[in-house]
Amino acid sequence: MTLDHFWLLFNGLSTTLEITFFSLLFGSILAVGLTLAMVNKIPGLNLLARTIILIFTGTPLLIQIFLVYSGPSQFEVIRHSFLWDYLSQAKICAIIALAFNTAAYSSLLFKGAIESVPRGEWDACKALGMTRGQTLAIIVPHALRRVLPSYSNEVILVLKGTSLASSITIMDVMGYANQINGQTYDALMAFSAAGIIYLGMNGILVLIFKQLEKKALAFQS
Amino acid sequence: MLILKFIRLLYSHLVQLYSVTIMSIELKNICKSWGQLDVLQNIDLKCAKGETLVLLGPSGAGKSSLLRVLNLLDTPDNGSISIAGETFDFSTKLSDKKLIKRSQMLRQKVGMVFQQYNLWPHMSVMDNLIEAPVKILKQTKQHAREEAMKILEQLQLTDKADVFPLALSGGQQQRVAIARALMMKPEVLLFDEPTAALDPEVTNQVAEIIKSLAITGITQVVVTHEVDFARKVASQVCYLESGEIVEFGGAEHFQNPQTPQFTNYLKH
Repeated sequence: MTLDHFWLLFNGLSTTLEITFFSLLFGSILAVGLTLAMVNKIPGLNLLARTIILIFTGTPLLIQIFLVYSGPSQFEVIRHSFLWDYLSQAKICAIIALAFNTAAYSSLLFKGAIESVPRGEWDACKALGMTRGQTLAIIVPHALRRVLPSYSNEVILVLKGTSLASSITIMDVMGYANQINGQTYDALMAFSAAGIIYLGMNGILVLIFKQLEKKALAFQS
Repeated sequence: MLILKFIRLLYSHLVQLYSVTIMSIELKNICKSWGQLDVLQNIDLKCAKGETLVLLGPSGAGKSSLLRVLNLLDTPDNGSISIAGETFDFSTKLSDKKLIKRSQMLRQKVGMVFQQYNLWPHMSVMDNLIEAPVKILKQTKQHAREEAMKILEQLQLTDKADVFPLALSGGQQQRVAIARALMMKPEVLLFDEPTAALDPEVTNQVAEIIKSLAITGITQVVVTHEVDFARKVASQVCYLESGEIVEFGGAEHFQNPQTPQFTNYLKH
């Protein structure tokens, strides 16, 4: 393996970051929806949210990626609909699978955080005559601050999880590492180099989150 | 000034004369149980506007339960409540939606100060204060801030407006909690063990605040088990034991308790 190969891995980095970013973006929005459905016990939606969580936390991410990528093409209807423009792209499939996966885990984190906000703070909202929505507008921001340390973990899991996307033809860091391994049979170098790139990215994420936590949790000191 | 004093005196006399009509709080036959445990049994209570009613009793007597019923944080199983012009009859089943809506209306007029203060720790003192008036009463932020500064000034907290609550002492947090409740201009203010976590000096401050609020005509209900504190603030006293009212009357009952239980309680 040469230095050129190493730079080749960096070509995959943009894809890795792109998939990570969009999975987290859609995943967190979906997670907030799932959380609100569960916390407010909205009939129907609550059950739907719990089912989604059960499925996506209970099955391997690799299977989810395969199913989103290969599953829809089995249906004539989908292949002839506008959806096919999107579902035929591997990158979008990877983002969908990862977004649902992280949403399932994050919503459990969010729900736990909301429920761990002391009862008294809910009572204070209630005692002032606030509606459920007005109450959540106070409690949720507090919960989000508290959840930040554990959510940073989830972000790292997603970044690492994107490596599985290489299994559906995507050329991310892992995809290129596979390619280099195939060409040079230098597995040790190829995968070590890829690992170092993931490690570096996660290191940067950890630093960013440390700063964010300092700001968001300033009220505790 | 003299005229004002005269009017106030006249008003308080009128209130006493027509106390039947200017009732701020009226409870009839309030019952509440948690499973097998009856925490409140057939509570009948009347309290005129501007009074400071102290709920005394040993722990487990139902004082705090009664207080939570007064702004419907807990819903009684039976009886009727009339408070700050809002009447609820629990002997007939109210629909949940209607009850929620109406209890929100009630709580806007009946403020509450909690034993643990229950401030929102991630918001500054100022944001704690203006949240409810801006969201519920639809005041502008500017206006709410001005009101907040006035109240903070009264409670000697002006320099703490931009501080997070956890950076304050217990006594200061308690005053912020009082200020937050006052922002809604409540007709009735409920205090749950306001001095439980405070040292004696700060306890006196709280007593002074309650007394000065009493002059403004606000009706206050104070739960406590500290007799000295109760004596300082009470214009009326209600002594409870195991969910029942044992003795009820004016502040003179501290000197002349009518029941052996209350006499005994005052001794320790």
